[in-house]
Amino acid sequence: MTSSPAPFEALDAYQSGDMSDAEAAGFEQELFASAAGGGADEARFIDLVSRLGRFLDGRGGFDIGSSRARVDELLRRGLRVQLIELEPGPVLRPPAIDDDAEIVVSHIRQDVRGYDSIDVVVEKADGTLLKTFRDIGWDPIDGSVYAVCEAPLARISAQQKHIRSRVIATKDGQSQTIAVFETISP
Amino acid sequence: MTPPVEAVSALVQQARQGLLPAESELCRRFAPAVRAFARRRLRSVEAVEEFAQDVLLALVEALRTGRVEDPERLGGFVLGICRNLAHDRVRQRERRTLLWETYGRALESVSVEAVEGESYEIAHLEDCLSQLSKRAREVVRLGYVEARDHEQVAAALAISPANARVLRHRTLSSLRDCMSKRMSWEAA
Repeated sequence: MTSSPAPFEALDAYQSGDMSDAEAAGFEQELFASAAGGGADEARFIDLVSRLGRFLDGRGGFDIGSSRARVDELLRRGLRVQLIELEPGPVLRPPAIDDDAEIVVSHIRQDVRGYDSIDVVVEKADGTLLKTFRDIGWDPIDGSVYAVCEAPLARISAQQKHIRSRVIATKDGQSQTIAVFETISP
Repeated sequence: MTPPVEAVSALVQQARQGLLPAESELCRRFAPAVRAFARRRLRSVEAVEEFAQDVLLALVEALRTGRVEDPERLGGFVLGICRNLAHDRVRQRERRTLLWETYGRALESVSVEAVEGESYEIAHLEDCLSQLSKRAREVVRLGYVEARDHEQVAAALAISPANARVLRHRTLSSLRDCMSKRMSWEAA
């Protein structure tokens, strides 16, 4: 399977029923033989995304940027949410992440309404690119950003003690930096 | 460094003696294929999971009782379990799917997520999802979390089924590429 030039297409066609039963019978033989040998990488990957995706979906993991209503929903469900309030400014100093936190929400009080999309580019202090958060969402009521994150990921990201974030807003195909801030973790 | 893949015949031999690590390894190897088999035939995520559990339980029972005569053909053996179970149960599963769609929300609070011990993988997936476009994230959510088909995904995103299919494949490839690397926060 892993040698196929289009592995996900074949598996997808099989699972979705697009593949004929006759072709599927052969595909199944290959799939299970590959699984026996510790292969079937594509099936394993899709399985991982499905299982862990279900876990994340119920906890705001697909939101990237979320809303106060979503945070309240997480709290109502009894999840241990650490809400960190961050006032806009050139330097943000978030507190340490609680040992028992399950989800960390960083509330950035910057109104980002009025744009088609918002990306956040995160760099180390020396300018090395770490990652780009794409198409983040915001609270429809006040435009602020509730960045929802699983606590283990928040702890890993906090190992980068000093980062710089650039908020890039796009409207009508034109992009501009609307905010730059540094974050210094404890 | 990736540990060597143990030969299936050795695992079958160990499982026959009731050694849990061997049974667990064989279940880990087959679970994705069994779920793929089930996804072709069943709609709901819950039905797929229950089918997979039943197949793997039958596999472990067969291993323990020495009914796997030819370890080199274990893949075909497991596929046979799948086909036999599917033959008997597709109609029953579809009935169950309907019940889940109608009444399943009442059971959400008691569902067990078997993701303990995978916190790093969860963090890695979340990190990679955040680097996808909103539309790509939605494709993953609809297609693999909610198990919707191409037509339903296309309708939700207001694109053609053909485009939904291409977007799904591209997104999966991007996601796998990201997941195959170190997490962004650790890479630099």
